[in-house]
Amino acid sequence: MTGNPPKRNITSRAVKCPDCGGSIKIEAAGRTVSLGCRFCGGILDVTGEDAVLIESYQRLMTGRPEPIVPLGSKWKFEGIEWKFVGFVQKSDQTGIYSWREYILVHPMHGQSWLVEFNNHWIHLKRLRSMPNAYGDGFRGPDKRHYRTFQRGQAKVLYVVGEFPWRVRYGDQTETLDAVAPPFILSMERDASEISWTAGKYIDPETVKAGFGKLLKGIRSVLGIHPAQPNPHTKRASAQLTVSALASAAMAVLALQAGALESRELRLSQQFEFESGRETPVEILSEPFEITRKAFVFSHIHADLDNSWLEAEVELLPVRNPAESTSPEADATDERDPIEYTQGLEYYHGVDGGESWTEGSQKDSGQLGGVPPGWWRAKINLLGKSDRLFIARRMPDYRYIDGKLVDLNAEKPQPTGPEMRGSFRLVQASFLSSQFIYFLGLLWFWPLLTYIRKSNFEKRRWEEAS
Amino acid sequence: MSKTSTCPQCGAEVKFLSTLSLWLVCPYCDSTLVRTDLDLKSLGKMSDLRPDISPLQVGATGTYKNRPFAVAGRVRNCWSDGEWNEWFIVFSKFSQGNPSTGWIAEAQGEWMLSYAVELKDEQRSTLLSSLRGSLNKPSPGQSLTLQSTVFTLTDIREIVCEGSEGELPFSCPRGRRSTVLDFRSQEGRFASIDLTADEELLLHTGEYADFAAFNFKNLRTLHDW
Repeated sequence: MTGNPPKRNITSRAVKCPDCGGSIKIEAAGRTVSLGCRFCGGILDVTGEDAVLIESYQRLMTGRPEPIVPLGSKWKFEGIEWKFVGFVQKSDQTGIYSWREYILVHPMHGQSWLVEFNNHWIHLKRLRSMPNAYGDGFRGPDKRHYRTFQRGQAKVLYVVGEFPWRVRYGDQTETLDAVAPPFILSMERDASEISWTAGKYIDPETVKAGFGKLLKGIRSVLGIHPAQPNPHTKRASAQLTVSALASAAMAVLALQAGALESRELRLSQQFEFESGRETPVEILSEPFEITRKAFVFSHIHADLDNSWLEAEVELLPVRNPAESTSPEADATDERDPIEYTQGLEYYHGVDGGESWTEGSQKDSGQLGGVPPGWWRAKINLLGKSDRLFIARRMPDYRYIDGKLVDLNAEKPQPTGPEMRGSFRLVQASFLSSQFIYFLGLLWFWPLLTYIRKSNFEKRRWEEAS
Repeated sequence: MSKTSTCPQCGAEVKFLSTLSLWLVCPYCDSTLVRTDLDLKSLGKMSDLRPDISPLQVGATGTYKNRPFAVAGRVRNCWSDGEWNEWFIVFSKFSQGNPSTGWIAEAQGEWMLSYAVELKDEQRSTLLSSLRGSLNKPSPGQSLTLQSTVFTLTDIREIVCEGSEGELPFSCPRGRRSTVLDFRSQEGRFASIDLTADEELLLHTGEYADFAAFNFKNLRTLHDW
């Protein structure tokens, strides 16, 4: 080759507005189809050599909506420098809600949109394929489930700058938005075309930073945007993780320290039986306190020896002895006495050279939901000891060296009380109060955040249709 | 593969990148040249294409799915709602079972790669007769089975060639009018039929691709970007 052929590096061209005569530079040459004249608001067709007026702007030129940056500004986002070439203001069918679309182009990455509504921003790109309807919304190409937020209409109120499609004032399209915050799918349909775009909520500071110098400041957001990420979600999951880990750690520590289940002895009552007597013993305990509504374990133990014991227990509500001069007085509250019986039997012996036992010397019962307050226990014990009987009436005769020998003859006779026993009431609760207190502290913030998170979603979906 | 000749109009040395290219627009004097057996014949001057923001240029190179190629020419088409570029590419290495040339369509910054489908006379007439029906009564939704893929007609457009540059496998003079039928498959592939009034029929099938997938080199210097 004999040198380089002339390079055509020009990416823009200039046209003259046939309505007002203004000279307009087309930034996205080859892409731009219609143009909103920045001087007179007229809409021009620029597909040919010369611009052709399609429609004049009929309204007063004052009070035209303005983009936050001049046309031709760059917006840098995720490493791509988009050029802002077109601006359109649209409203819904009621005319109450209006939003502004910023058309962005890039030679290699095609086109995209920034859409501002109530000072919230989303960034959208066209989808190559149509999302499939799925459940209460759509399945996006990213496999996410988008829930339909609203269907409506959009009407073009004002345009300025360049558009890669034909645009007219009053153009109406059907719209649909489906969200999976911070992601959004958006559909627009007119008589001839359905187009889908997919985008993401962009925090206003990021939008601002991408533009650099602004024409006017970004005002603070109003209300909740359909695609706005729930600000509490991140905090909620972080707090949930922290609280769950802390609770688990606490539970492990508490289990090791035995603090997960608390047992507090409230009453310990000793009793005795005399040898061979078969007589009821009545005991009235000292007042004791049950500190909160709890399970109460009733333990009874007696060193029974081939005998039985029956305890008829009556828990009597009494006044707090510290407050009452007469502790014997009945409680004035509405607690009812609690009655129950506990029985014990214990037998043993040797049969054909094999020893056997039956029953047990102790028993535990469980009383559910004993109301808190002061109580006394009235215990009626009925039992019988057969130990003397065993020693005297059941000699253990064996033939040893041809002589009959009583093996029990040498055993000492029991002295003193024939049988001792104890009765104990233990207040139990699965979790100790400290443990519950700490748990409450741990879960207070996550719970509050969860409520806030739910309220945010409720407010978001209140706007849905 | 390349063949050097002299432009009969201005005398500059011009080079065909591909033996498959029959047409060339001289980069110096913009004359459209047609290759006969040994020398070139000028068919008149091609006027300058209007500026656009395409990052591509004739002479750019790239690699698509491990196959290096060079951008040899471009056709710029327009229709009622816009314009787009069709870049003619020539693969630099022969690869068994793969086409040696292709087209990169660039429309509103979307990129598509397609290959011409060779049709036998019989297939061509079958296709033509089935198309005549849908052309008389355009009905998007009509299906077409090509290379055992079912394509659905999505769009019918009347297009006009706005101009061309570089090497092309056919002549595409400014003002050439044709009807383009666009088809899509469920798998995201597309097919495109270009049909002129005198029943010149071109069939291409292809796929969408990201700009990065072409690994372009020697791109145009874009001022303002």
